[in-house]
Formats: sequence, structure tokens, C-alpha cells
Amino acid sequence: MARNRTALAVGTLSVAALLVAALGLYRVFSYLAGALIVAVLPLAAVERGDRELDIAPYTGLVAGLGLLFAVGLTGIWLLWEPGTASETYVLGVPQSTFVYILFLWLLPLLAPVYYAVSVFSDTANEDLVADVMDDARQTQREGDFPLAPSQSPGVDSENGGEQ
Amino acid sequence: MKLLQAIPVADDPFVLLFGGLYLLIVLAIGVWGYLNTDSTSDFLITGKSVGTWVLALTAFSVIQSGFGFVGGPELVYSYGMTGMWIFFTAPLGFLIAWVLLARRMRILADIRNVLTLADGMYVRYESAWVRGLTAFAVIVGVIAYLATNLAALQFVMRAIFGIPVVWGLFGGAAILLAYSVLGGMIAGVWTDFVQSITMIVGAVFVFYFALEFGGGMGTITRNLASVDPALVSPFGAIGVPAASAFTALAWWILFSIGSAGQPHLITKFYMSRDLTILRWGAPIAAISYGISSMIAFSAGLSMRAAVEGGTIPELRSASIAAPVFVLNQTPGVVAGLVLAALLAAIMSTSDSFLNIGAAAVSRDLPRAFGRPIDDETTELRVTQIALAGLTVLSTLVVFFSDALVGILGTIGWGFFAAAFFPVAVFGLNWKGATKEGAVAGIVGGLVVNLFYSAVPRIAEAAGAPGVSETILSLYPFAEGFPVGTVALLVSIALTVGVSVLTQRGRSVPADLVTLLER
Repeated sequence: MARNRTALAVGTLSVAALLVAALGLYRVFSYLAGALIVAVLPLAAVERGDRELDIAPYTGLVAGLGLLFAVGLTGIWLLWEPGTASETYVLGVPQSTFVYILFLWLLPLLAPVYYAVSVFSDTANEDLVADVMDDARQTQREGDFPLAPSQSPGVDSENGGEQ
Repeated sequence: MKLLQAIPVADDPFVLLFGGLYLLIVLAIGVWGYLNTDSTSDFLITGKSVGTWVLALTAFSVIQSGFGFVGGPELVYSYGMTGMWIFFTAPLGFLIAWVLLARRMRILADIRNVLTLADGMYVRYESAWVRGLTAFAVIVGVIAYLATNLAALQFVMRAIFGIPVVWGLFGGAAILLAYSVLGGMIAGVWTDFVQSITMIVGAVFVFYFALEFGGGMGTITRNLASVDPALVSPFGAIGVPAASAFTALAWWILFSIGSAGQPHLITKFYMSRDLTILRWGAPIAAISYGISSMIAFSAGLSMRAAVEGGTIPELRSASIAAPVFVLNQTPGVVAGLVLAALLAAIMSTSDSFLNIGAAAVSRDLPRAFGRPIDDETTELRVTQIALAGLTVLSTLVVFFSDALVGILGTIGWGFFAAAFFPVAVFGLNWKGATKEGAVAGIVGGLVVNLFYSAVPRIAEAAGAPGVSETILSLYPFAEGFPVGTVALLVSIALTVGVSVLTQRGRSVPADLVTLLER
């Protein structure tokens, strides 16, 4: 049976974001937006672990980005509200805008670096590729699969219908 | 795009030199690509030959389109920080696309002979409907994107070479067609590589000169705040504060998550030489985009501050903020480089669109209808003819109909994001995704996009503003809340919901099980 919890969490956050946007609650919407962006990352781990909601090896990525987004959004809402006319400046920009630039743009730029350094090798290495390819080729020898290397070019779409 | 007509024609020899040199280089790469293209696999996915830097920079350059170089400064000039929720957000999209799709798409290309996104979705869902709908959405999106890019290209060609707009359109389209049809994706990725370096260097210069022109960041922001504090507030000034916040945050969702639904980006994963090539792709692409986004930030704010401060007269159109800045406020060498970069941004995105659109016409649709082209050479030639056909069609759309370009312009990033993010991401990561869920997601996303974006524009163009007003009155969100985000969220919800309801007794193709589990 398929694991559903992470996918359902993403689907639920999407519906919640739509509802909250329709109700005009922009502060709540901001946190839902951040949660949704972070929540899509564990989708890559849905089928990997022994149990549902095991998000390894993406835990650090999710926790890091989640923390940055939480701090950034909270900082903005603490420092700025509609109609704010004057603010303290940091490095030439208003404090609240500086918080946005730092926590929602600049520091998240480190996340892809972290992914390359600490996560990628856990998810993509020669052993993994060999396992996947061995299993795939073994299975392909036992049946017909469209666009499998041993098939003729047209075999994938006989009648154009559902398989 | 008509407003771009206000871009002044450059009279500096460096602009002509850089523009001419750039076009000669891309044509030469096209010829070189032709000599190295023997099969449809070479033409569509470079025969899986691309290394780390080329892959990363081509991924960056197809996402950084002319919109980033013209639309970015235009948005920031008009509304302050609101637009930066697009351009500061996009780098996050590379991470999401890499985490969710890169390695699984690359290994999928070894398990099966997939060349297109529709191929990949077909083998995952084993559904001709999914393949056909994917191909249809790609074709519609490609024509739309291409037409808007060509509409911008004609004015940039005029600005650089001083030629009439119509020559700029046909000349630019002819050069794009020549190197794309000759060299396919081999030429595409290498021109993207050259184009991305041009863009990054250009962006660094623009950032430096824009800050100098404005008197430093502090002076720029204080000048703007004295006119309207919202311009430099975190969410900008695109409407009343609540509307600005909603628009900015909705863009945050759309341009981060939505990256993993852009077919011209994610099919690049098929092209990597092996899996290890993908390791550093996300940081290189993200940081490159981060640097290039400085153009929108600095040029947009600096020009608006200069206008508000009375240093320069008000622009005839916000859309010419960046071109006017580089032509009037930077040395000729820099202006030449940046305008060449603008040309590059438009052409690098366009050649990728052409490639995936042509494959959808020649490969995906015939196979979805059960009429595949069996002969490899014939398939390659048909792909090249389809590429030429799409270029001609989009060029004629721009030439004959401003209204149609406007309507097509509403179909963009959000259209692809809604159509493909859920189907690709859930399909390649979750065994529970079903073909019914995929079809529901694609159709739901397309319907929302077309109903709220394209139909009102069509109604207005057809002289029925009442219909447009009625549809817009049914939109339950704040004014300016992007339709693309609504479509994306609806599409995700439908894909998940329908999949959960229809997954009993279903399984993924047996040879893909281990791929999804690792």
C-alpha cells in the first residue's frame, strides 16, 4: 500500500493556503506558504525509509529552511505592519526588508550548497545506481515495458491506449 | 511589449560590436552542434553528454529569461520590493527541482529510453492520456512563451542594431531558428553556457553602476521611502498593503515550488553525463541566478529613485527602465555587454522552448495517438521541421496580433507549474500517485489558468468586457494574487486527493519500483 502521509500533508497545506488566501489572512498565509515550500522537500523521502514520515536524509535541509523561514517571517511581522512609515536602516535598507533579504533569500542560498555537500552522496552514489539498474534490468527481462532499451521504437504505444 | 518600443536605439559602437559578436558565436555553435548531431537522442537530450558546469549554467539560463532582465527592473521600478519575491525566490526553485527530480529523472533515462517529459510521465503512469495531455500542455505553453519572448526580441534587436522592429523580429527569429534547428540541444546547451556567463558578468556590472548612479543603497532607499515607504518595505507597493503581501507571498510559492514544473528546466536532467554531474548543479545554478537577480533589484530601485529625486525625467514606460539605464548610465562596453546579455536571456530560454515543443509535436503527440514515427532518422527530421514550424507560427503571432501576444502572455510560468509540478514530482517520488490523479491535476491546473487568465483577455479582445468582468468577479482572492499560484495549489490538491481515492490495487511499473524506493 502506498505511503500517503507526506503527500496528504502537502495536499492539505495547498488547500489550507487557498482557503486562508480567500479569507484575506495574509499573516497566516505567509506561514502556510513557508510550510508548503519546506513540506515539498520530504516528498523525495516518501518511499525511502522504513516508516512513514521518516524524512532522512533531508532532515537537516527541512529543519534549516524551516527555521530560516520562521525567523524571517516572524521578523518581518514584528518589524513591519501595513502603513509603517519610518524604520531603522541596516546596510542601507529598512530593518524589516533586511530581515527578508537575509532570511528568505541570502541564507537560503546556502541550502543548495548544503545539499551538494551533505545530502547528495546519501541519495545518489554508484551503489545506489547499480542496485536500481540491476533490479530494473532483471524485471525488464521478465516482461515487456514501453521504451525499455530492448524494445522496438514503436512498442510503447500500440493502439495508443492505456496499458 | 509595445511599450518596449520606447527603448532608445544605441549609438555606441561597442553595443553593435557585442551584439554582432554574440550572434556570430551562437551561429557558429549551431553549425558545430549540427556536426555532432546524429540521432534524435543527440538532438533532444544531447545524447546524455553534458557535464556539471554546462548543465548547471544551462539550467540557470533557461530560467533567467528576458523577463528577468526587462520585466524584473520594470516590476521593481513600478512597485518596489514586491517583484523581488520572484527574483530572490527563483534560486530556491533550483534546490527543489534538484531534490525532487534530478536524480530520479536521470536514472529513469537509463532505465527506459525517455527523451521528453511526456515520455517520462508515460512510463511512470502507463497512460496515453497523461502523455497526450502533457504534450498538449507543452505545445500550448511553448507557443505562448515563445511569442512573448519574440515580441521582446524584436525591440532588443532594434535597440542594438538600429534596424526597424519588423526586421528585428524576422532577423532575430531567423537566427534563433538557424542555430536551434541545426544544432538541436547540443547547440542549445552550449549557447546557453555562453549566454549564462554573459548574463552573470552583465549583472555584476549593472549592480555596480546602478548603486553608483543612485548614490549608494542608503541614499536610494531613503529617496524612495520619502515618496512612498511601501516601495522599500518587505512586500513592496503593488497595491494596498494586504494585496502586496498576498501577491509577494503567492509569488514566493509559485517561483520556488513551480520551478520543478518547468519542462525546459527539468528535462535538462536527462542530459547529464552521469549521476555525479548533478551534485553541484543546484548551488551553481542558484548562486548564478542570485547574482543575475541583482539587475532587477539595483536597476529598478536606482532608476525609480533617480526619477523621484528629479535626477532624470520620468520614463515613457516602466518596461524600459533597465535598457535606458544601461544605455544612458553605463560605459559603452558595459552597455554592449548587458544588451548582449539581454539578447542572450531571451534566446537561451527560447531555444529550450523550441526543443521541447518540437519534441512534443513530433514524438509525444503521435505516440499518444498510437502513431509513433518508427524510423529514427525520420523522427529527427520531423522534429527539426516541427521546430521550424513552431518558430514560424510564433513569429507570425507576434507580427499579426498584439492582442494574441497579450493573451498568450498570461500563459507562462504558472501554466507550466500547475500542469507539471504535481504530475512529475508526485509521480517520481510517491508510489501512491495514480494516472487518474495525474490527469485530474493537469486538467485542473489548465482549466484554472485558462479560465481566470486567458478567457478574460480573450473576452476583452473580442469586445465583450462584461464577460471579463463577470469572470474576474468570481475570483475569490485579493487583486493581484497570481492566478498561476491558485492553479498550482488546485492542481496539487487534485493530484493528491484523486490519487488517494483511486490508488487501491494500483502499483507502479515493476522496473521502476527500486528507483522510487531509493
